[in-house]
Amino acid sequence: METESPEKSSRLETVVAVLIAVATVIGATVAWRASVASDSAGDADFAGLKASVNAEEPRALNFVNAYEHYGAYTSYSRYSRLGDAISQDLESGADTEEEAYLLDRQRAESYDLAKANQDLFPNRFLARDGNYRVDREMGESWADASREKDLSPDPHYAEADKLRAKTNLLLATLTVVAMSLVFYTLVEAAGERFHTVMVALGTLFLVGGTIAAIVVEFTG
Amino acid sequence: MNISEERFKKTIAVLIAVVTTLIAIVTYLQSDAGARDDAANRDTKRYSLESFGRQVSGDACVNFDYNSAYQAYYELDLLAVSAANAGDEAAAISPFTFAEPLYDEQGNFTDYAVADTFEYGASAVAVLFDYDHMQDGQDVVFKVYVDGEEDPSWRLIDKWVLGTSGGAEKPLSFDYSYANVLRPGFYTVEMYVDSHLGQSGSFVIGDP
Repeated sequence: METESPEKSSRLETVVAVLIAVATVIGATVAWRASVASDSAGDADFAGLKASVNAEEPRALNFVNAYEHYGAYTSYSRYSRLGDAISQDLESGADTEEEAYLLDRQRAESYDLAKANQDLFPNRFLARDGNYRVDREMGESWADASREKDLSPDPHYAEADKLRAKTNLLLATLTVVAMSLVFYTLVEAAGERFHTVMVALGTLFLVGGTIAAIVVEFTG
Repeated sequence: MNISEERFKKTIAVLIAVVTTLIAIVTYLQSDAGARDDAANRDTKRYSLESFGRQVSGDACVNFDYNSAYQAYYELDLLAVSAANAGDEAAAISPFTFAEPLYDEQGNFTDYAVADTFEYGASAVAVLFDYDHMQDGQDVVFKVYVDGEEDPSWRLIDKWVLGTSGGAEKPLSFDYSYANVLRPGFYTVEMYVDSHLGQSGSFVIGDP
């Protein structure tokens, strides 16, 4: 049975020690990048939640204000048309003087109430057909708010999910790199015949894991 | 070094390798679980915030629907019922529907294409409506406004002959020539019954 010379064995031990050191450094680097990605994912989550708060506040306020205005417009429209209807009744002639007086009073009241409501909504959102465009008012308020604050949480959440996936992939490559340490550790235990096989397998995992980590880092 | 000591060292090396592998796998799984946990926590806060916003918006809509729109409808409906009970019924004209008449190859009418906006080139638009409480002999006037100005050529003055209730149509068309089409603009049609505005509605003819 052929045995390795002490010189060859010593060289192998040195090579394996260097490879273990290299694998450890690469593993530490990959772990650092994974940690950075994880931290960035947390930051993106926070930015997303901040944008969610920013978005919900004006959304709620816009709805409340716009529907308040719409309510005022509805009252204005109702009293105004009621006044018109009473005017038409008056024009077609009241049966008695007392009825004419009452109708005139009701008409005046309706128009007064319409006028009181007219100042409670912005008339620039009235459409050509006379309807109130509550969607336009909310759209304008939303546009104003979006000029001042970030109101789009979705891109932040997508970024956070992407970074979390990157962290996981980096940790998966770290596992592959760690497998190389297993094979390097087994070099001594495997016996002389399998020294080269173990070193080759360890190096294969080390190189594969490193390449995968680089790809994930620059494309993830 | 004797054989058993060497075997012991080899066993320890294999065990270290196995433990290292297990630790690597567990670390990966722990990280994956942590990432899912973070995402779930974030989604909890996110949906909580969004649902609160939706609740406030929904409350605003419901308040308007019930306290403004429905109440106005209810009060006006009561007034109408009260007037009807007192024998003061006005003609009721339903909101106008606008439609372009469609014809087959032989030129026979087939159907209406209902719309609020018609492409340039439409030669006819029909005003469709239902009516109730009308009486034959009542004065009926149709006025058509294009971009806010009345077009006198469209004005129709007539006596009502269609009975008390039913459905009717008023065509806006150039019957005498296929070459003429409705000009682009914002059209408003008003229908007066005995000098009272019974109904009005609008449609658009698009630009060429």
